[in-house]
Amino acid sequence: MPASASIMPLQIPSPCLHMSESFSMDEVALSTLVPGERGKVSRISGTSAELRRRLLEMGLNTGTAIQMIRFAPFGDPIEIHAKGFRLSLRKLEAESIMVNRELR
Amino acid sequence: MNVKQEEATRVRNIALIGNPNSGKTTVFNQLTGLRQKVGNYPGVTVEKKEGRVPLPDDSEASVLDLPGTYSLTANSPDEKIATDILLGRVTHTRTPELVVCVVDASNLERSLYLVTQIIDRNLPLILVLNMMDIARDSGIEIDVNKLQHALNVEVIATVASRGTGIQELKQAMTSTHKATGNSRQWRLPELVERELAELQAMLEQHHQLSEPLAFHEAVTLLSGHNGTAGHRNKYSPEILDHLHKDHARLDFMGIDRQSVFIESRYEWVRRVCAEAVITAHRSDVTFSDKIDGILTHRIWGFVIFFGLMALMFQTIFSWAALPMELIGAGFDWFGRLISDVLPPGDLQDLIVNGGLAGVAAVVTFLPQILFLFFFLGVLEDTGYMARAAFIMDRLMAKVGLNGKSFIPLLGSFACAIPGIMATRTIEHPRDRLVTMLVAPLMSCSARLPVYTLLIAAFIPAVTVFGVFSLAGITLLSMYLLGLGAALGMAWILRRTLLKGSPPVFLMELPPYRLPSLKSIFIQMWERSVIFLKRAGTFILGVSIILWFLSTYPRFEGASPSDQVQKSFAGQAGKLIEPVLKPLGFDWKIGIGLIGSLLQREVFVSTMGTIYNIQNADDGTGNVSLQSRMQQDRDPVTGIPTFTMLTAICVMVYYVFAMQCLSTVAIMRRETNGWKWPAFQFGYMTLLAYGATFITYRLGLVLGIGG
Amino acid sequence: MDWQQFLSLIIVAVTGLLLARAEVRKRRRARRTGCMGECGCASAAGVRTKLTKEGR
Repeated sequence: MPASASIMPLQIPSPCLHMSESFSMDEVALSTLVPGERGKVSRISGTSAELRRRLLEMGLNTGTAIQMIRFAPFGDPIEIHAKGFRLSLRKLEAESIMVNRELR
Repeated sequence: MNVKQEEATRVRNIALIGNPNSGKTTVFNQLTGLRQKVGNYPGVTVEKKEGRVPLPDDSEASVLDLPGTYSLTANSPDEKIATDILLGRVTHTRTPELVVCVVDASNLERSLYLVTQIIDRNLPLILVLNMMDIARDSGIEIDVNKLQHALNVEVIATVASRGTGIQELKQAMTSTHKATGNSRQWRLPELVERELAELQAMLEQHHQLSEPLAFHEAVTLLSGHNGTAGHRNKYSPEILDHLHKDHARLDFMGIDRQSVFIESRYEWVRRVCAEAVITAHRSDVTFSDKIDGILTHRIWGFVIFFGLMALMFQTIFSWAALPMELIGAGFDWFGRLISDVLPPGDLQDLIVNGGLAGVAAVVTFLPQILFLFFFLGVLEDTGYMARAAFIMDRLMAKVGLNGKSFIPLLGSFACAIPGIMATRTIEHPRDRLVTMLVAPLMSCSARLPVYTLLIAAFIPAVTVFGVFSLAGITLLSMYLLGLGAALGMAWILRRTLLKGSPPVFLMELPPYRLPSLKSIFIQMWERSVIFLKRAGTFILGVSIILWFLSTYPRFEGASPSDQVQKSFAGQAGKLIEPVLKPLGFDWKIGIGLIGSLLQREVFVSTMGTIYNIQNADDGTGNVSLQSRMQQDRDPVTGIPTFTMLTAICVMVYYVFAMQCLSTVAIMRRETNGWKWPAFQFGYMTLLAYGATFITYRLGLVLGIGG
Repeated sequence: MDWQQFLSLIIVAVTGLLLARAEVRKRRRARRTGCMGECGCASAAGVRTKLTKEGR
C-alpha cells in the first residue's frame, strides 16, 4: 500500500500515509500558511479561468514545491518561494491555491 | 543593398525575448550599445525598441527587444505583441529570422516554460543562459552541453552585466540555425495529442494558416472555454463543430483542458532541468531574503520606505544647491559680457533679458532633475521598486488598484509620460486607465523648478528637528499633496466612473542587485543632453518670443514695468486676471501660467524674462530673479506681488493643474481617443482652481501673509 | 528704428518661424514614432519606471 500511496497525487486518507514523510494529510489553502511553512501545490480551484491560467503559467502547477516567506508590512500581500523565484500575491488569490502542507 | 546582405545565411532580423528580470535589457544594451531607437508598434500602445548589432562577420543585424513576458498566452498587451511578432501577425514588422531567448540561470525551471512556447513557433532559436555568476553563487551548476542536448537548441552562457559571453553570442548570431518547430518535445496525453493534431490540420486546411500559427490557434482553442461564442465569426462551422466535440470528449475523460497543456510543458521542463541542472546546495534564505527581512519588515518596512522617500527629496534639494549656484553664476557672467560688448539697445535687451534670462532660469535646475533621476534609477536598478509595490499594495487596494499601479505613479515623479507608458504592465485595462488618469497628479520633474524657485524665495530658511529644513519639508509636502490627490482621485474614479471588481496582484520579486551605475549614468547623460537641447532650442525660442510679446507694442516714455503691462503678453495676462484674482494671482503670474501649458518650466523662464525686462532700468545686470520677485510691488497699491501665501498658492496650483500638452497627447494615444484626455484636463484644472482657492482663502483667514 | 531694434525683430521673426516649423515636424514625427508631443520628456532617456526591472 505504501507503493500506491507514492503514485497517487491525490490525498486519500489512509493510515499508511502516516508512514511516508514526504506526504502530508493536510490540503490547505496557501493563504493559511505561516512564514516558513512549506508545501506542494495540489490544485487551483475556485477562481476565474484567466487567473488560474496565469497562476499555472507562473509555475504554480501541481507538485510544485512552495514555501511561505512573509507577509507584507500591512499584512497583505504575501511572498512565497516557488520554482526558484519569489512571487508576491494577495491572500485572496492565495485562497484558491490548494497546497499539501508539509508536516514538520 | 550590398551583396552581403543578400546572402541567405546572413541573419538580418532578430527578436530578443525573455522573462522580466532575466537580464534581457542588459543583453540588449551589450549588443546594441547606444545604437537604439524607440518607437511604436502600429495600432498598439506598446513600445517598440530596436537596435543595431555589428556582427563578427561584418554584417549587421537588427534586433527587436520584445517586452519581457512570462508566456505567449497574451494576458496583457505586452505579451500579445510578443506573440504576434513571433507569429508574423504584425503589420510593418517582419517575422524574425532568429529568436534569442534570455533566461535567468537561477530560475531555469520557470523560465523554460516560455522557451517551450517559442519552440512551438518553428523559429530558429538561441538560448542565452544569463546571470550565471549569481546562479553559481547560489550553488546552482548547469551543464550547458547537457542542456543544449536536451533542448536541441544552442545555448550560450553569459554574465551580461559583465559582458561575459556576449562575443560568443554575437558569433552564434551570425551562423544559421535550423528551425525548432520539428523538435517539439513536450508531450501531451495521447488523446489530447490526437485532438490537437486533427484540429491543427483542419485549421491549416480551412483557413490557410501556416503550421506554427495553426498549432497556436489549435492550442488556444482546445484549452479555452466551452463557449465558442467568441469564435463564431473567425472559424468555419466544421471547425467549431469539431471543437465542440473535442471539448466534450476531453471533459468526459476528466482531462482538465486548461491545465493539461501547461502541466505537460512543465513536465518536460522538469525532466530537462533534472538532466542538466545540479544544485549543490541551495540555501533557502538568500542574501536578498535577509535584506528583505528588514526592508519589508512588518513594521520597519514602511518606515524605511517613507524615510527613503523623505531623504531623497531632502538630498535633491540640498545637494543640488551648489551646482545650481555655479550654473547661475556662469549665466550671470555671460550676461555681463554681452552687456559690455553690445551697447544698450534692443539687441542687447533681447539677448540678455530675453533669451539668456529665460534659458538660465530653466537650465539652473538641471542638477536637481539629475539627482531625482539618479535616485529613482538606483531604486529601480537594485530591485527595490518591486518591494515598493509589494509594500504599497495594501494601500493601493484600498483605493481600488494594486501594487503594480504604484510603480508608474512613482515614476511619474520624474515625468508623467514614461509613467503613463509604464502602465501597460497593468493587466486590467480599467485599472490601467485609472492609473493613467491620476499619474499627472504626481509632481513631475518639470514642476521642480517652479517649486524650488518659489520655496527658495519665499519660504523662510528654518530647520525643523535640527535635520530637515522647512524648505525641504515644504517640497516634500507638495509631493505628498500630489500623491494624496492621485490616490484620492483613484478612489473616486473607482467608485464612480470606473467601477468594478478588485484587481489581481501577481508579481515577481527579483533578487536584489548592485545597481549598475554605468547604465544609470548613461541614462542621466542622455537625459541631460535632451534637457539641454530642449533648453537651447525650444525654451530659448519661447523666451525670445516672450521677450517680444512683453516688449511690444512700444510706448514711448513708459516705465519698464508699465511697458510690460501694456505689451501683448501683459494684456493677455490682464485679460485672465479677473479669473486669477480670487486665487491671489496677478497678471504676471497669469502670463507664467499661460506659458506653462507648453512646458511647466516655462513658468520659471517667463518670470525670468518678465522680471528682467521690468527691472531693466535698475542698472545691475545680475540681480537674482529671486530677489526681484521678492521685491516686486504693485506700482499702484504697493502691495507685494508675491507673499509666502501667494507662493504656496502657485505651488498648490501647479500640483494639481494639468498643463503639459504633451501628456494630453500621450493620453490620446494610449486611450485611442480624445474623451479621456479631455476629461483629465478638465478635472485637473477644476481641482487646481478649487484647491488653490481654498488654500488662498484659508491662508488669508489664518493670517499667513496677505 | 536703429540697427539693434531691426536686428532683434529679425531674430524674433526667424525664431517664430523655426519654432512653428519644429512643432509641425514634431507632430508629424510623433505620429510615426509615437513619442507624441514633447519627446524630450518621454522615450528612451526617461527613467525606466517599469514594474518589471528588465534586468540591468
